[in-house]
Amino acid sequence: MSVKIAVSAFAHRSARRRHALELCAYSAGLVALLVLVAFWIVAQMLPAAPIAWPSSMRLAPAVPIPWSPAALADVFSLCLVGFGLLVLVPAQVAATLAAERRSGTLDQLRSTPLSPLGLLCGLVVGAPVRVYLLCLGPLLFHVGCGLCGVIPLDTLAATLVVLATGTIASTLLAAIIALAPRQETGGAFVALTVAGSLGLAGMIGFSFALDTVSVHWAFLDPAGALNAAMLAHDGLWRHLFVSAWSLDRFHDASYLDAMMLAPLGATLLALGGSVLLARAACRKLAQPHLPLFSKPQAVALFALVAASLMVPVGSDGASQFRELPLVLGLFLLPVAGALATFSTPSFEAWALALRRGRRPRSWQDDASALGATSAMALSYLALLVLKLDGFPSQLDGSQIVALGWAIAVTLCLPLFALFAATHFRTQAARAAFAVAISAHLLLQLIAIGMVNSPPFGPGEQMWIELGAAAGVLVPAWIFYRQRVLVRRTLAGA
Amino acid sequence: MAPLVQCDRVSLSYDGLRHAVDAVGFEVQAGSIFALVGPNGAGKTSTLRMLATLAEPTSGTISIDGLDAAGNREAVRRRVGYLPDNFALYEQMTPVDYLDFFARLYDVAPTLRKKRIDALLDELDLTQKRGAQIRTLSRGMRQRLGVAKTLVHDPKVLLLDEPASALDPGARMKLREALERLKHRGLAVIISSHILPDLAGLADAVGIMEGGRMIHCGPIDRVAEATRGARIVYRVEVASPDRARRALADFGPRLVDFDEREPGRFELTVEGGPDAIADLVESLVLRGARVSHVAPRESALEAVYRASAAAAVA
Repeated sequence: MSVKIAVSAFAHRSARRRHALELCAYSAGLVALLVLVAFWIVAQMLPAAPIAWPSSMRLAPAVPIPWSPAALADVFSLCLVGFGLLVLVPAQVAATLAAERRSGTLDQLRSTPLSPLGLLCGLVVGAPVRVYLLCLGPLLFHVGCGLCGVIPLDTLAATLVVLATGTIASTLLAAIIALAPRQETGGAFVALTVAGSLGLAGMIGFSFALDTVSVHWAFLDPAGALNAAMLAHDGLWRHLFVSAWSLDRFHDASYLDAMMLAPLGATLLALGGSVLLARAACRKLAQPHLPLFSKPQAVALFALVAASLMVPVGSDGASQFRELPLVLGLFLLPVAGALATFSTPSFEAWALALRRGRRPRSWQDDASALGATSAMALSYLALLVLKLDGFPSQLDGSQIVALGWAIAVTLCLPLFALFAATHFRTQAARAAFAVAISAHLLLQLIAIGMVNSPPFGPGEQMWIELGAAAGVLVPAWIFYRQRVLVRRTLAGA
Repeated sequence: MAPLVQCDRVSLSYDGLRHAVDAVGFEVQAGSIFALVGPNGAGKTSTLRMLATLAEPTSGTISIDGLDAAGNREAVRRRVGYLPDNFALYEQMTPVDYLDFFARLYDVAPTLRKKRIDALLDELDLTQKRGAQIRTLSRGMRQRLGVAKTLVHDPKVLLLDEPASALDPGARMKLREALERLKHRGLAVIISSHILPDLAGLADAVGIMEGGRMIHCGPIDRVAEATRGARIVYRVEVASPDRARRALADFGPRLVDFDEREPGRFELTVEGGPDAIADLVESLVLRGARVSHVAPRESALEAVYRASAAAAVA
């Protein structure tokens, strides 16, 4: 009930009935424009004679492109809908939420009887209703193309499911970014950050589907799954995005299988991620003083991301990629860092627990994220053991040292996050500390990479020793400073 | 009659070292106005945020209309209208759209919505601006619109945090009239303010806060009684200053101090409440000083607050 009320109220706030009708008209006009442009392009392209390549330069058989105005308009429509729902809607949600938060109106919304879930749904579904309405025409055109046979029905179903679940996950991710603590930036900046990040991720995901190896990871972004779904059908989309020289890859059954599975994988990932993100957002809306993620939520999110990255890896992956644990770890380190940071308590919560004289349990909100990060590292190792045959027995001594070092670096992340949260009050101070710690982590990664690939020259030896010294001294100094703060806090300073 | 709002030893601490609110307790009846006064950082806003269920007490209980605020947030929020200090409005909206948005959020029935919005705009003197963008409204109008928003769901309890700050005298007067109407309609109003003259004569009870603690609480008369030592300064004008000077010199210890600003115009610091000033005026009249004007320089609430604050410092 609360959800329905909130969605209706926010939708009504964003676009009143007359305005909604206007937007629907714009959307219909957009479709008409797309169809006209498609007709014009097809009219230009159809009479074009095939390029007469010299027989010596002919690398692939000439394949006629199946031009059709409806199919081309459908390509345009789907691209527009994808951009609208997967980039613009999340940006709009982030902008709205950040602006509400900054101006203080979020507190007024919180004082209404809406449940946190209702408020979240209102912000995620109701607030960006203008963009939804603008996307309505192209989306209906895409559905029409599916029903009229321009694209197969299973492709239509796959694209619709990916669009729906991808939109939910992307908007919730945007909401989480806007709810992140200590960011007093305005709505426009947050919106640009969200749009830029999701747009870049979308482009990378889209390109994943075009390659026979990376297609296994195309499901990580809804844009990749959309591309895979459309490429699986031999239509205009495939001929527009894949050159004639590369079309023979579609004879590869494993490539086709991976493309068929991408929408399913994307849907499962989006649904799993959405549940976790929605719970975190609701918690933050209900109790703004708590960290963004609870410890179990942080561990579950990490496990979901780690599993998503590792599921496509073949069981013989380690024999093909001896560096696999470290390469995957390199992708997961920023994820662990972000999750540790956003599950770290504020200074006030940390000090309150300290002064109460009880040691918080590691999964409680006022505890540091050390327990959660340890669980993340363990879950990563467990996934490696499950996924890679013979892990870790087939690693040699230096690789084991490198892996151990990398895990030690990971376990220092909660200490850095707690130090930043409890020592620095201003954005600038936190940013400076983040830069310094990033430099430290970069040095650690360089040194770990060198340890992982013996033999070492004298120069490499020096980097490794430097990295090892920094790897001990920096956390030790931060640990000492944190102990000093503990004493001062207990003394009431 | 059971009080509409009950706070029982409510505390709030953000860091475990300092208490923003420390064991505060008070009750507010329906159809009455309770004034929370105190300097900045006294804990007034934190108290109101806890009453609005936006902050959770570290200890103690809050009950609103018989419901425990911690366990019945949704039901409590339906009964409470909260206007925060320095509240923000949606600048691009019109007052009607703004009130309509919140009426929808509070699930006000569609048939009632328009009627109630019209009535509120009329009551708070905003009908003329119903179609204007909020950013074009004056400060006073924005404040009244904020009050209208808190009333759109017909709450039983109204929480107003510094509603009169930065308002001109005309706007303050209109706000005061609106609050009096709400009081007579049976609402329990809790209002925090620095501007004591605005609360004087309006509030039925007062809670004086200092450093998170409630140093005095209750009906204004009773609090005044509790601070009976309060010295009240009166302005007295007489036609015969010489006779008045003699009368004042003989009056006794209840006249703590007197200052003749100009011939015939005195500021008298009197201890002992209304009886003392009555005796003093009688004495002046009997001595033939021909009293033409007697008025307190400050309200009873101001006197009580000043006395309480002085006691707290001591």
